[in-house]
Amino acid sequence: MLTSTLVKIQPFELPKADSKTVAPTSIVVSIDKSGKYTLNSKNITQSSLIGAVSSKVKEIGARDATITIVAEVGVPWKKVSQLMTLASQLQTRAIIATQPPE
Amino acid sequence: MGLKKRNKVSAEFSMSSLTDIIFLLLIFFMLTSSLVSPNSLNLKLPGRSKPSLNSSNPPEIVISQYGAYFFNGSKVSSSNIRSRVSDMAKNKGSKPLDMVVSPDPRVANEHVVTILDILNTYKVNAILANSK
Repeated sequence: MLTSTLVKIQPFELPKADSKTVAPTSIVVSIDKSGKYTLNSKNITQSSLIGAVSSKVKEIGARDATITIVAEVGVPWKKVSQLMTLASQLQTRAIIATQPPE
Repeated sequence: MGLKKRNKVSAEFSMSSLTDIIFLLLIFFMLTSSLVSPNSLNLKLPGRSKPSLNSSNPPEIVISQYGAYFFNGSKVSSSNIRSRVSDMAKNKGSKPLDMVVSPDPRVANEHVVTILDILNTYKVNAILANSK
């Protein structure tokens, strides 16, 4: 019951990969095809995203935080790499959410 | 003294129906939670892990705007890349392998994830070239 309510992943199509790592859900940034960002299921603008993510990472601590990037299929790579750059600047981990291939 | 004894209420109740329901709930939530949380691809970022270049001239995979893959300059399919990478991983010896991945910034992210996943499976270090 606890785990299922904690999961904040939006149900849209994700890139397929064989990877079996389970995504942590402390900081979930999702990007949909139209370019809308959400941080932990709350809508957020691109300009305020960096500040919000940085404060979340500081709250948890850069050692333990993991930014989960949930990018819908079709989102340009640039948007994902921006978040990766942000994660590396904050000295924290980043992970790309995928779904297993059929 | 004809006092009537009150009917004793039975203090027992059947535990088995309770455990039945608890077990059902437990199994249900175990299944749903594993279905909902997606899998993910671990990224090695320069801020955390020490980037170590092992080869001076690593092979390069370029991904074009429309999702075409180029391995060292020649166009290949994704299954072709998989076989090439697995060949290289077999012949690499003890040194870990590096590969440069340079995706076009406009390419859909699933193409990059496909490549990163292939490299991840064969334990090849992916170096992302960031083109602005």
